[in-house]
Amino acid sequence: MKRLIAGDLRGLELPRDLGVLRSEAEKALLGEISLMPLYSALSKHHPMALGELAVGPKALRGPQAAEAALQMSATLEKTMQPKALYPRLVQLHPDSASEILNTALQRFPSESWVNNLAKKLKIIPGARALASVKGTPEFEAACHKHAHLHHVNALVELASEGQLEPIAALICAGHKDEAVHAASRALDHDPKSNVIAWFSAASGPDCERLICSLIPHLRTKEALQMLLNRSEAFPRAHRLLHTLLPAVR
Amino acid sequence: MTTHFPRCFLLGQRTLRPFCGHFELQVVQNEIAFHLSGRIGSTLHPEEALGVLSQVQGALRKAEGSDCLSVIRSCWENLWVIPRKELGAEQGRDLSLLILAQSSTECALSAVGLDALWGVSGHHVQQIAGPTTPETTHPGLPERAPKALELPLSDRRFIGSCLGDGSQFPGVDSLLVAEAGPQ
Repeated sequence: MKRLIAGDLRGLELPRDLGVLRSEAEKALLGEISLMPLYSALSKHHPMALGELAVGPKALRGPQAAEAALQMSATLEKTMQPKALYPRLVQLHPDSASEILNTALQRFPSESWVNNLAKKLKIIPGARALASVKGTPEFEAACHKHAHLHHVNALVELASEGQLEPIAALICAGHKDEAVHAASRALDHDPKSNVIAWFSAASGPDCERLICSLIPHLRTKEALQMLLNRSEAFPRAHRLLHTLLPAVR
Repeated sequence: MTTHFPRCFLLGQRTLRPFCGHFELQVVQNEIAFHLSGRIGSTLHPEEALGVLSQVQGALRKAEGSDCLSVIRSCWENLWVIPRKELGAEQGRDLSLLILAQSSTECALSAVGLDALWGVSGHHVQQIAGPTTPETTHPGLPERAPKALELPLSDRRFIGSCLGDGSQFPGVDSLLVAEAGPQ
């Protein structure tokens, strides 16, 4: 029956042969044989059976099963609501929770249930990977990569520790509001942080709008003063800061 | 007064810091409206680049004149006053600058450090200069004012690609999207 695992489904009759299929897949997992060819074939011809194996009541477990299920996430989303699918995958494969969450975040970056899942798991997507390259020449590129993967919270967290590269990365990935939030956190950490330089490097002429958006988030007069000192190239923001500064205590 | 405010832009780079060293300036004085778009110190750390571009922009803001050509000339003269050592590691050799001045009767353009220059009106794009156009390709701050191009009055926007960034036009649609973004 190795041909089933290799993705050859000839002669297979479902749902009658589901038990055979599961038994063969379990043997494959024990033998550390990839489930990908089988899952690919099921995805094309029997998506409901794929759902049974991947997330059904007697779903397969283990890292290889998790990896194969994640590869088939687009098909599985058609048989199960995504907001139920990903928590189910986490339940089946707790050791792969981080990878499952990353996939969910890439596919549904703006859905609130993904953030709820992350909170429940106490995982900040991307945080561990970014921390591992902090202080190295690869850090800036990593920030951009994770910004494109919508790992916004991890990048804001790094900005709150005084790292400014995440601000530019968020802007370049189109997360401008989050970049402003990251800049305000960086200024909370150190009012002397030159956030304007990073706004400018990432957004060019749009920098002025970002500075103006940042102003309401500032908490200290020192931060306002530092922005004023560095905003000469952006006259509208400079005038606004100049007007506001005397009113701030 | 001028009917249209002249507008010009320089394209960003495909790097992690796409607009590092970019600046722009819009000024109206003596019935002359001028718009500048430039880049200097793009390879510097963002904090250093901000210092250099602020210096350059501050000098350009002081430009004045009674007609388009004299305003453009004044821009160059104001840049020559800045000590070269204050223009970053390249001392101004990496400057790209596009100056566009317009009154109710005339329009003129002057540039250095460009690989290409296009005039864009709606979806119509016309290449005005390329990598071999001497008037726009001088690398960095020139010793003498580059020849200004006198153009017919129009509502065209001018888009430049900095030296070293290639002369491939990015497409009108992406420009329109980019321009609409910050609004």
